[in-house]
Amino acid sequence: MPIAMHYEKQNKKSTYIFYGLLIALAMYGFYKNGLTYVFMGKMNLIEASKPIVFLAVAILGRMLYNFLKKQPLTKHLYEGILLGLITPVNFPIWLYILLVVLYFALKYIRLRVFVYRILFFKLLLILTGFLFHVPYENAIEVATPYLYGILDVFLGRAVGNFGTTSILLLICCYAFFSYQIYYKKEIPIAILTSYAIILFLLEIIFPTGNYFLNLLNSHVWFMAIFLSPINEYSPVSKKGLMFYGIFLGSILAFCYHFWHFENSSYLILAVFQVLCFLLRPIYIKKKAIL
Amino acid sequence: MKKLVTLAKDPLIKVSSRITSFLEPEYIYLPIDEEIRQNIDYKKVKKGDLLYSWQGKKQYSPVSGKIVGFLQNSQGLFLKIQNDYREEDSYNGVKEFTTMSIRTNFQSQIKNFPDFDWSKFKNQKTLILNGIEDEPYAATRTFLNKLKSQEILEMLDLLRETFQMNEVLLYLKENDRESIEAFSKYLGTYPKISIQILPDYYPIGHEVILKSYLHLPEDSVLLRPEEVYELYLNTIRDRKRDTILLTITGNAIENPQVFEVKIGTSLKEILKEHIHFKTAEYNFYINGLMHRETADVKEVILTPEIRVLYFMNPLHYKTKPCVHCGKCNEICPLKCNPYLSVNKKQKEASSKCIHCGLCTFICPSYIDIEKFL
Repeated sequence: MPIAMHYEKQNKKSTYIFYGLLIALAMYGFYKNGLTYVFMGKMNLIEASKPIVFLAVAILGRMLYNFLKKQPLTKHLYEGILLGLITPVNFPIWLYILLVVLYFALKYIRLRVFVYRILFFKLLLILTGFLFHVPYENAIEVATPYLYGILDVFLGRAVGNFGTTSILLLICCYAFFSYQIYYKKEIPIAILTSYAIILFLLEIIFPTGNYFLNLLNSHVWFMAIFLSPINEYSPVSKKGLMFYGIFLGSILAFCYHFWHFENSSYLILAVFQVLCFLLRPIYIKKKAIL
Repeated sequence: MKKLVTLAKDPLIKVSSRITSFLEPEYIYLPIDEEIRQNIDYKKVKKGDLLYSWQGKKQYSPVSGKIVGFLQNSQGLFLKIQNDYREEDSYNGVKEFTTMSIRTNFQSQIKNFPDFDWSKFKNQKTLILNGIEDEPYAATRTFLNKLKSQEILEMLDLLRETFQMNEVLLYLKENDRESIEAFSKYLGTYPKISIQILPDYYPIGHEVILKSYLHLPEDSVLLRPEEVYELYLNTIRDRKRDTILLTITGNAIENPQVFEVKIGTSLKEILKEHIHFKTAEYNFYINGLMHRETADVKEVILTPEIRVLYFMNPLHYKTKPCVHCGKCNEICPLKCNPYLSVNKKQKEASSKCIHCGLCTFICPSYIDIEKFL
């Protein structure tokens, strides 16, 4: 017979805060990629509402999945919001709908993908975006030259996914997550610290003048805070977590310093997650837990 | 030493502040084995009579009555004594006057009490009373501390004096106000005894955890209130312990309370007379909610090892596969590596494990990790 006491995982207040933070990210994305340009008269409201369609499609997708699985319709709707947030603003809607359908279909048939499912969706976006030459800039950024300062980038006015560009909001999310008992808070710290240090050393040796812009790359921050600490695809012990974070952060620093491919962080994390998943049985067997 | 945890408790489970006596059971059952059984006569016994030695412990009759047979159930084999309710005692009253002589010349008297391991006191500097009640919703130790505080303090002071120890420390939890108040009343009489208050952490009351949490020096000896009180009865009072305190609690019963019962009483007798169930469906736990020990309620015989009995509404957890969060390893106070045991799906013998249940408590997948340890 199991024990009669159990740690209560998450109270309602925490859930509301989590959804509140995701909605804040989405609202900022809507403001940055749409409303600003509407106010400037460069875009009409219908064009500006495109990212909202991303969110709506993914949330509906999740609700349909819940319906088919005979679960409460509102269960884990954050998954839908996240799918919308990680999509580039210029992504074609028809393609996005297809990917969302594919994503939930694969989830429904429980196909093992060896990486965290949200990351898997991001990889699908990267692949199809590459095939269809989808830029990360929004319509106005594509059409006109832009130059963002460090404060702009920190607040979120930068090129990136629809709703994950604000470093400030991502830090707020981390602050919330770090109070959740099952969140591996050491990983983002290890990734971002090692990333900052190695990037700084590289900047000294091979100066580019882009240190702060690279440091505040929202893809790295989003990956570190939302995607890397997933339990199933990360190490278990403290030493393992630190090693994983530092190694990942160091590699990212090299990539972003020398190779300016925006999506490097997701690709490298995918490799790490697959390796972690595949190697785990070996180190469980050998008792050398990472 | 890792950080311990504070267990969130259900405020609706409240143990009555009054103790209930159940000292007249119809039958008494004492554990026995087949070999001893052959030599047992169906005879009349008095309270305090030495019946036999079982697993290194002497079994004394807790009641006067007649040996009427044996009981075999899933808990083992028991000697059955029918209570005649006369409480005839083997003790003749003469030794009552030896209290003063024991106090003045205790060391030379020790040889008269060979049952107790006196060697553990030799060359020790600090005597520690571990008066901590660790189990949630249990009040057994609190009641013992409250009811027998004077006797416990007297015995502790006597031991300190006899074995020339420097001090006696009473460790109690900050939320156990009744024990703190009970001991505080008499501390003026015993200047070498002091109270140390500890936070409400689980499982701080376990001897191993307490030692490492407090970084206790090697030359200190730990005793529990039950042990001290039994020692007091055996030495100063020259009596054998015939009753135990027991908490019966849980959210499946209406009236959680502490009982004083005769050793060897059948639980079903107490339940029949005193306990009102809220529901017919419940889970039964022995000695702790964080442990997995259970038994058939109808067959439980109350021995000194049983301190708390829980009747809890069943929790319907759905066990999921391990998500590799590592929380079981992180929370384990003795670093037993439960994660490895779960994922190897085999029982790993960990000599360090104290079965505190924290790994199972924290598991987000509701895996019963303890069964692998």
